[in-house]
Amino acid sequence: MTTNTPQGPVFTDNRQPAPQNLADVLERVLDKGIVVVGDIQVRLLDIELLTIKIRLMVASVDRAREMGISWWESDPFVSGVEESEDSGTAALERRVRELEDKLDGSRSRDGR
Amino acid sequence: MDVEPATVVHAYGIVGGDATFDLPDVGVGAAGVALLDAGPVSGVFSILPESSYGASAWAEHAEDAVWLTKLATEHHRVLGALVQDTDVLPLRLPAMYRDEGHLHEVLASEATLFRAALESLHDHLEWSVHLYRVGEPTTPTPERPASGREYLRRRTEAVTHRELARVKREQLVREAYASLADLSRQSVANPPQDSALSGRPEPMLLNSAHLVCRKHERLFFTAVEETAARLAPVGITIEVTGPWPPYNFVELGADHPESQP
Repeated sequence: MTTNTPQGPVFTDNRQPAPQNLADVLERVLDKGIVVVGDIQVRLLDIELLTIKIRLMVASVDRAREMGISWWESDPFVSGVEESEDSGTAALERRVRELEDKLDGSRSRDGR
Repeated sequence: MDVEPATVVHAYGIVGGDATFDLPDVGVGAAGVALLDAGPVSGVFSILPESSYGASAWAEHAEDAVWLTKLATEHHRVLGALVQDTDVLPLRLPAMYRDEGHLHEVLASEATLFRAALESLHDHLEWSVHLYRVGEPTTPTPERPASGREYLRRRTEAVTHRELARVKREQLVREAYASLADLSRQSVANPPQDSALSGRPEPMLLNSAHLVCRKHERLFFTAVEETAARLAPVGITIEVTGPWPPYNFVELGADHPESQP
């Protein structure tokens, strides 16, 4: 990541049988698209919290590979926050706590 | 006595009642994919075992990312195949109905709304754009400061330099979004994905979706190339994925349940 000369644009064509960008899939399928009232009204966790939790809880990388999921295998996690010197796990755990607090707050506003 | 195992209906999306296309062979959990005629619109669905995908499965797995990821991927795969041939309104998960009669009932009750949404999105597809900060502008390595004062002066300069670089990056990101939005019928800038979601360590600077007419795709790609050329010198790279069903552009109006608080 010391390079200062990024490549040209990276195109991922969904029409090719290449692996989808899983982050984009999750973001859309769980958070966008139309809601047509069905039998199950699951109030999904904040998607960010959900996916951070994935990273923390995936115990078996092999299992993920079997499913063709590899997006958390990227090298040691570095916090996305600029200039942060947190270790990856600590940053993740802090972020999970923040999100859980936020979630608890919104749940209590819902009267649950 | 029940001899048949209980089932639920999982719906993928809504297509025009008169649309012509090939149904994908395989849906969620390797189930077959079928079409339900509800007049002006049709629903694309699979019949799934209640034990694996019904309410109790959702209750158990709603926070199970591995389970959800597999389901989301299989759900999207069907929609991704459909959108190559026809206009489709993608459904958000969970999209689970008791049986075909129940799905028919909900489709028919808002068929006019769905039909209008399909017509307004006709021949438009969604493209996803991500900008990442992958590099730093080069700064010369300074020699050892001669004094404490010299050290402080350099630190101040470095902070100013970083701040100016940040302002410039923000400006370029805004311009990049605007130039792609010019070629799109609608655009939306979503919150940048967290590294945990993107799977990349670099900070994401822009996470936008663009509704682009099929016949304007080439123009859009050319604009992406030009944007990439402008952003490369400041250490920003651009990634485009698609085409997607118009997930980000299917708002159905204020009276829809989704928009209730």
